[in-house]
Amino acid sequence: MAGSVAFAAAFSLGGENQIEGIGLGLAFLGLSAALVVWSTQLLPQTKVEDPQHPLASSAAERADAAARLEDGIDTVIGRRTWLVRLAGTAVAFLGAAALFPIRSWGPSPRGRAGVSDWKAGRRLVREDGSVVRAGDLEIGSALTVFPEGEVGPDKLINMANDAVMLVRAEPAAFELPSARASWTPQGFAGFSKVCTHAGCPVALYRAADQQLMCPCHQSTFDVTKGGTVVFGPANRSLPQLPIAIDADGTLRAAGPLSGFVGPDTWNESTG
Amino acid sequence: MIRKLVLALDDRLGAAPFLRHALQKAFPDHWSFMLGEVAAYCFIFILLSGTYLTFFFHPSVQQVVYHGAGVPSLDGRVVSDAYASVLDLSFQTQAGLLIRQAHHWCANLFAAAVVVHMARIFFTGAFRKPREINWLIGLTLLLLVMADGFTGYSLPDDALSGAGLRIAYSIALGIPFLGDWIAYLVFGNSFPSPQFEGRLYAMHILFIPLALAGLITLHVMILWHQKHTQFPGPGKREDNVRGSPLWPTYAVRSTALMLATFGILLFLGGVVEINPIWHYGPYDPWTVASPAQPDWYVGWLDGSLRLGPRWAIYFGHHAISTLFWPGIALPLTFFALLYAWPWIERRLQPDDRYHQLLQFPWQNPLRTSFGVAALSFAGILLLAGSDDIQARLLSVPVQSLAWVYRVALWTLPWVFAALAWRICVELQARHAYADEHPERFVLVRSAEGGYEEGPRLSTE
Repeated sequence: MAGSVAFAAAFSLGGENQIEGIGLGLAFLGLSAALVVWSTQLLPQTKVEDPQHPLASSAAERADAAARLEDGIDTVIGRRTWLVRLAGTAVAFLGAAALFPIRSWGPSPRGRAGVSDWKAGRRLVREDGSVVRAGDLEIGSALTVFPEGEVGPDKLINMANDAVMLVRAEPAAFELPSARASWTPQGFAGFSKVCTHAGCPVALYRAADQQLMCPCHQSTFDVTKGGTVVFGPANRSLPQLPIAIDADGTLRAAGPLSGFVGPDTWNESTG
Repeated sequence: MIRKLVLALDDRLGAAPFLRHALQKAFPDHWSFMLGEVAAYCFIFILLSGTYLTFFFHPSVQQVVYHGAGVPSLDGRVVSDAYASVLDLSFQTQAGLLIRQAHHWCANLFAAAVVVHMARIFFTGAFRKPREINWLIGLTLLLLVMADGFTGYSLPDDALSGAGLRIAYSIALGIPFLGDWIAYLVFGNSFPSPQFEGRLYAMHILFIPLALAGLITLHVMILWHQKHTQFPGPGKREDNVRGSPLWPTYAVRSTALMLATFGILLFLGGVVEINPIWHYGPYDPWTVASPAQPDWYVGWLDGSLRLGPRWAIYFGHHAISTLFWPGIALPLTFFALLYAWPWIERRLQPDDRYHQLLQFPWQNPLRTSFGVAALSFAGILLLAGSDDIQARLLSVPVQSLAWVYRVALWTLPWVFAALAWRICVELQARHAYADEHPERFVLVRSAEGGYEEGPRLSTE
């Protein structure tokens, strides 16, 4: 009762969550305790016994039920195989017709997995659309960037696949294959932020050992070796974005992302 | 008054014989028989609290500007309507935060009650003939509770649950043959998409609760018809069931349990913060909360993904991705084994009789060992699902911890199963010895250090 009063008071006084919870909780627990006392102290402790029979019916009843079901099926289907086939065909057609409204639920996801808007020449911008310049990022720091023109609240779907982690490491630290030697000018390296394991953002950058880590399942990628997997359940490198720097320091993509963005799907994959 | 009501009902329904019988129905007196009731009361609580939340929640990911005194740090930020409405119902609605947190706590307790109830059913052999159907329904209920929990905590469109949905979308797309279709039906043509929030909401508040309500009704009707099992004991036989009568003893006791469940949930909802989405922030597809853990009943799946192998199979443009093994194959196999267990056990230990008396876990080493292995397997996955937090607490690299769990996952369940088997056999021997030697006596040590035979006791 005290709990109920406390809840009512807290509620009418503008609702302090904790007091409401304590009051209401105690009100219920108090009622519960009262009922426990009642049932153990005041009620007679009588015991009852119910008989427990096998549930199966008599053999005759079982046989009869099964026979009726079988007879019914026989009567309906019997020797009229062509009628059954006709009915089956009609149902199949109904099923096929039902696929058409399902198609109108929206465009298929096919063709969207793995692709991004990155192309050679696109400038790197932040979430708010501001352009990134070489001077903005010190060695050992990271930034999430998108291709220019593809940001804003109405572009969330694009941004989901376009997000790139731009990190800056010591230029001497990189050990890239010769084909990627020009992709990291002044130590700027870009990697898709969509984890190749399950699609989470690879949001954790550790400058000490130049690793990118996904907080969902701890897949870890080596920045200096072109985003190769060093730990965790991911089986593919992060796609790398080739970076170019204009004379005025503006960062641009020198090409598209180097591979399939995000996890493989049944219908679309790196394969 | 009551007499008149009974007469009136009997006039119209002929309900008197049923009522007379029902009021005298025997409910066995053992605490473990009340675990399922906790789950049932959680369902009632979650329906009521959830209904209150629907008055204020907006299932839309349309982008709006958040203006609210609730979370000043987010004032003026562009967020989804769903996220903003959860903030508003938490801070601007009378008792909103209390009910929302109690609702969330209830989901966790609901799943826990179902799991513990099922463990009791499993280890005592209550699923044996004639109760296999209710075992299948129970497992389906567990899956539905997990699905309702996942769709529910994903609704606020915050940074934590958004990442969870992105993972679910990736797993769905990886399902062989049907991936595109399933992902498209649930999420729309991409993630995020304008469609997914409304579809999740329909699943969460309509389809899954409806299925739960229907199956719970069926579950209880079958239970009512088949009557309860009971632990062996004096006067308890295969052809009877003894206990307290429904009215008034058991009804009062059960009502007390319901009120206690509600009380604890409301207390937790008031005092213990859960799912503080204003700390995680709104979901932007390129952001994620860290550390990132789902609710506990999804944790074993997250752990499974963390420990998963790097196996992928490519043929043409098709792929069976690394997500397939831990995200699809493992949970399907796990649940298939649980669904099939009553028949596996009957194959290994041929037995077609009815069983109204329960077994103690030590009486069936095979079943107990399998149950212990299954629980420890799921338990290790659950622990692995928060290995990043453990690594931080223990100051060890998360990589080492993941390897420990990888090894443990495929070894420890065998060890625990063998241990359980050994303990069962030991207990069986002890009980057999006690049955053969019903007479006991007490040795009394005298002050001088000598021993004397004390009074004789019987084991029962």
